[in-house]
Amino acid sequence: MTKMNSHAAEVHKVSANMMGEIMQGHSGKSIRTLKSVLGIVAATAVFASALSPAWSGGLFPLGETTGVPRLSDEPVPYAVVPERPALPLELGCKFLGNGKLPDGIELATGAVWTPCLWVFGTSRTALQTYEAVGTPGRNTEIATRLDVFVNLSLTTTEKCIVGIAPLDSNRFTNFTRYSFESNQNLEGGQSEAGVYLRTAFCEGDFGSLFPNLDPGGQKLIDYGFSVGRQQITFQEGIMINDTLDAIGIVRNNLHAPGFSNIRITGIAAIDHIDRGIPSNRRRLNSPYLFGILTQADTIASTWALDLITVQDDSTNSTGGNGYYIGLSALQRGWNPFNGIGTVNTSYRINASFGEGGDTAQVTDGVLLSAEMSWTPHSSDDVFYVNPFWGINRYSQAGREPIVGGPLAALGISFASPSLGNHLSELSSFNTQVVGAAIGYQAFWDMHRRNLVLEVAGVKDTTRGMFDTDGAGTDAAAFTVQFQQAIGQRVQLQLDAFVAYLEGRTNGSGSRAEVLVQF
Amino acid sequence: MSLQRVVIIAAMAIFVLSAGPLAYAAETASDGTAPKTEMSAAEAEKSAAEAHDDLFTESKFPSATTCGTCHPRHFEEWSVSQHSYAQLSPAYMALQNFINQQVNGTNGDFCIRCHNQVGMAQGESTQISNLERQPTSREGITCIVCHRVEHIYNKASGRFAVAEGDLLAPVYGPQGDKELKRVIADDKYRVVTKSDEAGRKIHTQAIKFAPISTSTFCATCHDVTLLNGFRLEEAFSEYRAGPAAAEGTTCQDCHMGTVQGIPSGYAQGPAAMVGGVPTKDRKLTNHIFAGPDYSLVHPGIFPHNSEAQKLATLADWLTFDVAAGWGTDEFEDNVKEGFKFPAAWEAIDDRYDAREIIKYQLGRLEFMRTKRLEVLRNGYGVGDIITKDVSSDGIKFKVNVQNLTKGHNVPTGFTGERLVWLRVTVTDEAGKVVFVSGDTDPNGDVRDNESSYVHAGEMPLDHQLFSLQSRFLVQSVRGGERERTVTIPYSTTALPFLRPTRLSLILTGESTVERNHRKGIEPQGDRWANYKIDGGALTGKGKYKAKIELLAQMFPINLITTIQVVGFDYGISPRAAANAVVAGREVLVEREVVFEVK
Repeated sequence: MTKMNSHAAEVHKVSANMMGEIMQGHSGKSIRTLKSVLGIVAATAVFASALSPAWSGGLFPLGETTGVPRLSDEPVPYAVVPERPALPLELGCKFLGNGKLPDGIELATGAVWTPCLWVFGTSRTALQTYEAVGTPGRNTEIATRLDVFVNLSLTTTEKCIVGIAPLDSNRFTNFTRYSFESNQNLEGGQSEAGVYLRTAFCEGDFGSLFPNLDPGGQKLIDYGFSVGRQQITFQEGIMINDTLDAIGIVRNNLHAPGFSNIRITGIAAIDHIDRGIPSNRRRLNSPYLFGILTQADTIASTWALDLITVQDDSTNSTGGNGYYIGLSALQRGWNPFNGIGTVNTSYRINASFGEGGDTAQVTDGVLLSAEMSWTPHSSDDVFYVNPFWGINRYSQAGREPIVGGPLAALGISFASPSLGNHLSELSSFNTQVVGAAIGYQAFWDMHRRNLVLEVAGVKDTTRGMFDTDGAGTDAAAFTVQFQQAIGQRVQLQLDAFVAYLEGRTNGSGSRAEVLVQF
Repeated sequence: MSLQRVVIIAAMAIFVLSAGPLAYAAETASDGTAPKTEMSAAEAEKSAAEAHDDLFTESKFPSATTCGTCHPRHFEEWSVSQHSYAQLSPAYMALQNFINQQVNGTNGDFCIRCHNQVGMAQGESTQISNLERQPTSREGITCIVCHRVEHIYNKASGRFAVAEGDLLAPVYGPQGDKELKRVIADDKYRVVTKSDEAGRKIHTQAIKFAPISTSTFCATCHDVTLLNGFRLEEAFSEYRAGPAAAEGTTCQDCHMGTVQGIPSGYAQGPAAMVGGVPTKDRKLTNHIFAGPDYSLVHPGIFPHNSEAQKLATLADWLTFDVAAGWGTDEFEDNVKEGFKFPAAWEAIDDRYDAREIIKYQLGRLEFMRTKRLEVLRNGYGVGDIITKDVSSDGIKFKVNVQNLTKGHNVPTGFTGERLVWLRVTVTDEAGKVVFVSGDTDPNGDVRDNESSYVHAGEMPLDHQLFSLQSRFLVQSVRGGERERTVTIPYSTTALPFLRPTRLSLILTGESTVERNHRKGIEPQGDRWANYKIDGGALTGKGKYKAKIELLAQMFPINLITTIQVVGFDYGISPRAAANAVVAGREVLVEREVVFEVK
């Protein structure tokens, strides 16, 4: 364990040294060289380690190992585990707490409601400095966000939930913060206090809501439904990752030969759709979104086929009808490398089509992506390789303003922390690229501490393979993320990165975040 | 008392020898001496407090033992059932404690609420040993958990209210109280309905509660969705979408009839024996509820047995060494002088009495095993075995595995930990094994990704393994999802923390960080298991025999490996638990096929 910690410390040391040099303002060329060398070395070391454990000796796996498996012949002392942390407010009944449950109120429909009100949420505060994609210049700030939810549970299947974020208005630039350095000349304290309704929906199951329609439980009426403002995420966010005013209905457990489960979901949304073109990021008030989203389990894979259309005012230059399709296969399969165990794979094809060609809000394009990962012997670490290839210019059906674009799911370097003026290390929206994210996550302290090392890069496909005039969008980044749980409710997270951005100022950043769950 | 026993007791009073190893020695003192024979004042005070607690509980939640006085048949069936084992299971308790350890206590009473309604309604700790729980709490899904429910709660994931009341309070059943009124009015039954009256007390009302005979009632517990959206168990949802529901067959028709697993009709007989006098015959439902689980605990503790409870406490039973033969003539005639027994078992008469109870208990467990096989064999079948290619280049064949039921997928319920698989062993004419799939590692796991030996690189992955165990998957920070024995999303956060879902996960049917890749066979469906034996593995021309077995085990050993860090109740070692799990493994179907390589 000590040895493992020393490895982690070494990683931090290397990272810190590297950051120090960057911050001291080396020339672009030297930074580029340093970055390239470090990136190549790190990637090679991790990759080679994965393929050849004997070569790397104690370096691999990086995290804790369990050694030769053994079931103890002696009784293991009965552990005292953490008691349930109470919610700030629990009315009617405790959230997953012992004690007598309310008898409930029987409705005319036959449903029995046992109302319980629970308040919970998350607080995040970060000290961070960032300069990379987006507006040139550095931001150094303390930023904070608070997400508070009020959940009215009626039954185990029926509930209504309202969520507010009183310290931000859902834009990178609009978080309550104190800026030490701002690329918008907004140094000093900024309050964004207000009541911003992020979530407000009710969900349930018709079978549970109207049991008198089928007292015996033998009719196919247990359709799930959800109505209201809610986050909708499909294809791991590559297709849609947005908060919509929507109504959805779902049928689960459909049977067909060869399938263990089939789910079909239909959704319709009005207004409040953010259609993922970076230059036009805004909520639109006129479009309608309709989707049919399916998933099926077979013995080998889980398949998903999702279809969405956004019907906007095509006569308006800011609108345009769009069609989106996503197909994915998720499985654990055989791998070509001897001795590394099973490879987890997710293959996805996502495509977007604008009616009549590209419009302001939707562009034609295809994004092919894969996620491959495996776990080294005797450890819980994760090694992942996520390649992707964008053909033309793929765009999402909808996305939240402060979460990443379609590439965010493929690498931490493409994902923003969704807190203040610290964006993603590399653009998650530019899909006219081919690239990959290669990373390694190690665990210690019974999984309460982890470290992610990632190298990610993209090659601009609109340019020649060997164009070196600096006018493209080639980019690469080396990112480190460290998380440590403290007690029952607190997590400390440290992040740091350096990035090469072709034709632009190279990026760098670091942050320290404290997250509190309540 | 026989002269032989008297001699042995006298000898034990004179000689003191060190205690031998005990199979269930949790209560043996660490210094090798037996526990004290006399109660200390503190112990007496505690015992009095416990007795008071028990009475208090009984006044609100009567014990099954109380019900069994007049309903011996129902008690007998229930007491060996999985419902009655629900809280006693050390594996489930360890799993629950492990999950709470990993998620910072935020899973709270989610698991135990369903397994132990009485204990949770009483505000018991979620994590204490069963030895410290009240007797009715230990009974798990006891009589009143179904017969003191006033509403139909539908898919409640086991979270519902059990009505409080002593024995005299109303009960809820399928028939109403016509017969009860007759019994109360008939002097020959000599029953009383007031608490201050002397005599045989009886519940004052049997309220007709028709939903108790419907599948919707079973849905209260047998469709489990975590409050973060994770769909853990979907037996009822599967049923509702299946042919059995369409035909009007209920859960009860298959699982409470005369034969376990198929609609077989119901027995007829008296529902009660009041003071030894039977009530009128009526439809009787079977309360055995056979399923894939089996007991890991001392046979003095399970099945529930009122005689066993009178003879010794649970802690005492744990010190009774069944394997050594205590209470048998073979052991007692040869026990070494001075052998030191625990205080509760110092008297040879008690050991003989205990042995009689153990014999009875083991018989009941064996009976339950036959019922378990009955329900499993009514659910699974092996169809055609088709040879695709036989030559010196190798052998290819496939095996058809079937779901024989119309009711739900197989496996169903807690499918992520239900192990049903094919073991295929191919031997040449000399008996040499040339191919095997579905064999197990030294821990007893099949060689899948969760096998500790495969994970450590000590044994190769069984690439041709056919298993119907669903897979618990968690999202990795990046790189998709991977299998985990227990779904803790520690890759995406160092602080797993369970709260109500902020998204509508009804639409996706799964949490964003964990899910169940279901692999069960749909009702009346089938799957093909394909096998390929390379030519290099063959030993030449001749006949090769393939032995094909469909096996079932209640859960994989890697579950024990994973959760062992929190310890098992009753002082059971992980190895002993694993051995007991493997010992309960059953062959559901066995077939043979011969290939001839020419």
